[in-house]
Amino acid sequence: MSRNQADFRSLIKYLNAKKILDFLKEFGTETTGNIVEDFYSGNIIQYQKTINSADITGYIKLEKQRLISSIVSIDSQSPNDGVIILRRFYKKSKELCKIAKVSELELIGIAVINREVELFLQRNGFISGEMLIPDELGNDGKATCYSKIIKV
Amino acid sequence: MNMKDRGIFEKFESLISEKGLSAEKAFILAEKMQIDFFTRIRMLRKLYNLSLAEAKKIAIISKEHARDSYRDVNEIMEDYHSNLIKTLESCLKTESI
Repeated sequence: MSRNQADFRSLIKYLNAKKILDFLKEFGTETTGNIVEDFYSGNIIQYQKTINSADITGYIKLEKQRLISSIVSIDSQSPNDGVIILRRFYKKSKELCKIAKVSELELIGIAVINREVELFLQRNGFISGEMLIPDELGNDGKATCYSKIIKV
Repeated sequence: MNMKDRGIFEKFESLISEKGLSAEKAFILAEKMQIDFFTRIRMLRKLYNLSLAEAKKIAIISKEHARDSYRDVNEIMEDYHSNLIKTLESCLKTESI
């Protein structure tokens, strides 16, 4: 490989890392430390975003050909703000899949605490299952989650 | 447990033993101290021996009680979930999820 080719590859790698970093920031993650490296290593990346009266918190995780995009908590004083933040979360998750060049997005709701919400998710194609609670949320076993895999 | 967690948890542990700090008040106080959501959840789970679902419930109730301390817990949770379903319904109507 010539020096020009090596420089070009380094530049592409840098630009891609910069793109991911900017995007993770927009997503609502704290872009401290080696977050791009953490993201590509498949570590859990926590995000938190507030829009008007709505808050959304969860984590994203890269797994081979899939981006796991989870919601741990969503809270809003008005359903309208809730819709805005949820739509944004979905849109950004899909965009992140494209930037990270993965073909599947797995949406996950963790530790759903209401039967009606559970039934609603089931009616809309979300599948329930037990998942290991990540260390970041105080790992001590499993919790019921609802997930749906979408081709991007 | 990492060093950061240890420092935070010890501080709250002493507040619990000295002042009988409730889980709700601990969550709000930690938020005011700008401790992130995941750490607050870990703290609740560790110090109050809660499941993840129970800790999430405390997070919802404490936020609402910070606005109106007299609101009934069941009413808060009913409103929260009814709002959440409306939000999900509206979102699913327009997005092909």
